[in-house]
Amino acid sequence: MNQTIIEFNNFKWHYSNNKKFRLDIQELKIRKGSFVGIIGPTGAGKTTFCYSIMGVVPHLQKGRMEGSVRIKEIETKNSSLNVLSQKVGLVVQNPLSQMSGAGLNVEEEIAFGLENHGYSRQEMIKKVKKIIELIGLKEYARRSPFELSGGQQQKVAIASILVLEPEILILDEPTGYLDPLSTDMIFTLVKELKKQGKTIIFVSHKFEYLNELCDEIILINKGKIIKKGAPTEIFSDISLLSKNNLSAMDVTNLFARLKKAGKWKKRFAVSVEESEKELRSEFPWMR
Amino acid sequence: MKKIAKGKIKFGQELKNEFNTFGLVLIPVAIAINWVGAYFAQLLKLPIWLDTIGTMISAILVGPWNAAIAGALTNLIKWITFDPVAGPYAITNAAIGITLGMLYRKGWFSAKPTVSQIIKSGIIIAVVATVISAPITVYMFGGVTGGGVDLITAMLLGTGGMGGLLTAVFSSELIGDLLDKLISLVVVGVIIENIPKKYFKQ
Amino acid sequence: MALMITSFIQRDSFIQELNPISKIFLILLVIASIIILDNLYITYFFLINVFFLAYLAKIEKEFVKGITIVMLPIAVWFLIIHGIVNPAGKTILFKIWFIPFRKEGLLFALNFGSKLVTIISYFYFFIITTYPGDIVGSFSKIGLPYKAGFLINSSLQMLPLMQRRAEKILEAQEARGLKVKGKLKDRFKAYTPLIIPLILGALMETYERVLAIEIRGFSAKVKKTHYKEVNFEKKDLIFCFTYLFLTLILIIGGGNF
Repeated sequence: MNQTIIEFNNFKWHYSNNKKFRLDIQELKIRKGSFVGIIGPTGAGKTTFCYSIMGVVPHLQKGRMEGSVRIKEIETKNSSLNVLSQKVGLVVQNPLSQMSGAGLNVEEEIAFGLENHGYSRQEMIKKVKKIIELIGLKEYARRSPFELSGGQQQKVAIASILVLEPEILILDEPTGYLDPLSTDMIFTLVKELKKQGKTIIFVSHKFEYLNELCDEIILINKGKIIKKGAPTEIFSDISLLSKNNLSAMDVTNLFARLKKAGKWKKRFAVSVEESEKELRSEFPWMR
Repeated sequence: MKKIAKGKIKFGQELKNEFNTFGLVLIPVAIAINWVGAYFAQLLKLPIWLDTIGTMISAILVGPWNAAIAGALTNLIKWITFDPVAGPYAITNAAIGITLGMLYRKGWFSAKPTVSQIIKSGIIIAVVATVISAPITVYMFGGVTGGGVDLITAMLLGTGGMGGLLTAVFSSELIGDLLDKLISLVVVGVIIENIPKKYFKQ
Repeated sequence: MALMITSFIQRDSFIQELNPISKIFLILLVIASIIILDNLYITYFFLINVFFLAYLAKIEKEFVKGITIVMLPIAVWFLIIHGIVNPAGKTILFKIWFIPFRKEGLLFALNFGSKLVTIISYFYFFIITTYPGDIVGSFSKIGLPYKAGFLINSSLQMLPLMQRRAEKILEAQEARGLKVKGKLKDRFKAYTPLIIPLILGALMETYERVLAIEIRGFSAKVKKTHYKEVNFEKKDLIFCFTYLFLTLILIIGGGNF
């Protein structure tokens, strides 16, 4: 049941104006239905990683690829974006750049991907309606995408991708341009999608959210996978994080300081709930 | 589609390359840049129009034919949003795009333009623009004559007391155009310099 | 409603609901009649007709205002230029400050000018009674290439978007002390800090947009379909046939006015 849906094999990529490999992944298997969080410092290769699964690398970027990336039984190198876009979807950081301009209102914008793939009009109307319900865009359906806020646009972007019903959804720092409220809205939406069994790859710096949602975390730096593991494992390893130019969460740092002061000998918590649990179990007078 | 010369890409293929995804997505942006370029110039009450910067950028980033469409559409849209004299000058705008595109291909204007390149290109483009615009101006405002006499000839001969109208239009337009194109090219040069190398040559 | 640059006015009338192609058909009929028949009465008939249609579309006030503002100066200029300069002019009708206005030139201006004004009025009528989103929707049914439709819709939206950005950049730069008034030299200097960030921002977004539409299958080699459709309805048929009929009568009876 838990089949591999994404597989990297001896994969290497470098952009054409650079001799050094941007991404070097010997082996990676991602299971269907899992929610994988990708973390790493700026320039680590996280975006290239996303591109490699989507097929942007190698089809839209100039460079050299070695090895393979497989989506189920399809090898990205031998396929095309047309085929891949029906299996994989990618949402990026800037909401505005994902509005194609061809759709004069949200409905048409969502239908854009379907138009490109030649779906019949009846099918398009059905699918667009369904996704608008699912994502909660009924209120804006007739408005121009360019009049919406960043958070709403990002929802439209997600809807326009999901309407193609890909099995894998990649989100590359989708909340980077958004305010806290909109950020929360996107994470709530993605939580819903996880429940529906989609395989989700989420690149973010928002560790609190990733900790709550992810089945596993992959830490990427300098084009390589540094560590892969459960969220608790990765987010409590402060030295690992700092070695890779990442900061641990505040609660984790708190426990680290307590340990340094000799007041704490157990594991570091990575969320407020966990902290409460740990503290209560350690200090009876807190119960 | 004829082969222009052995080793050169066919013209049909050349056209297709200029209207790939990037080319298509750039056209509305080029049109908007033309528009806003002019808006800023008007706002600052500058004596020049600066309304072809988008066309020029398109000429360099994509090619002459893409720039021609961007330029022509700019004028057609101006026409529709009710500047009734803008339409016929679509030809001029297109010509500017084609000229710069060709100059860039031939190396007369490069991605890092030198002062002499800017001056030479500016003059060529200004002359092309004026030569194409002046008859349009005269023709449009003069209208078609019913008497079978060529209007341009009539203007040149100075019938009716307005001798040499064409010459007059020609020379005043030329000076304005020259300044306009030179400064536009400088702006274009600065822009191209500031685009990260990896985006070049899509 | 989308943010657009055209002057479309939404009113509760069947004219706005008509398929744009029907209106284009009418424009073609008008152009054909005016050119073939070269008859001033027919020209004026069509001119009156377009005002009638404007009334039906409930935009008569805006229409008259628009036409007057744009066409009046052009009409006057036309009369002056041809009255004075047109080589066919021989008979002097009157003089203003010793500049002679000749009869033949004025007649020509009246004749040609009326035709021009009439035709342009129809184009203006088309623009203010047609929802831009319907244009691509209707033309795609008769074979408008997908890429052309994409271009038209993108341009319609990109322009007001850039305009808004331009205003934001202006505000931001002024807040940082940019002077937009004063000596010519200063005003020239103010141009680049305004235009450069705008263009660079727009270009970067363009590169990103290419990616975004490619991963939605833009280059897929399948026949593209259309979500938005504008159909040909009964009212379109009635509209087109009525005018076709009228025009035919005019052409057949042509010259007998």
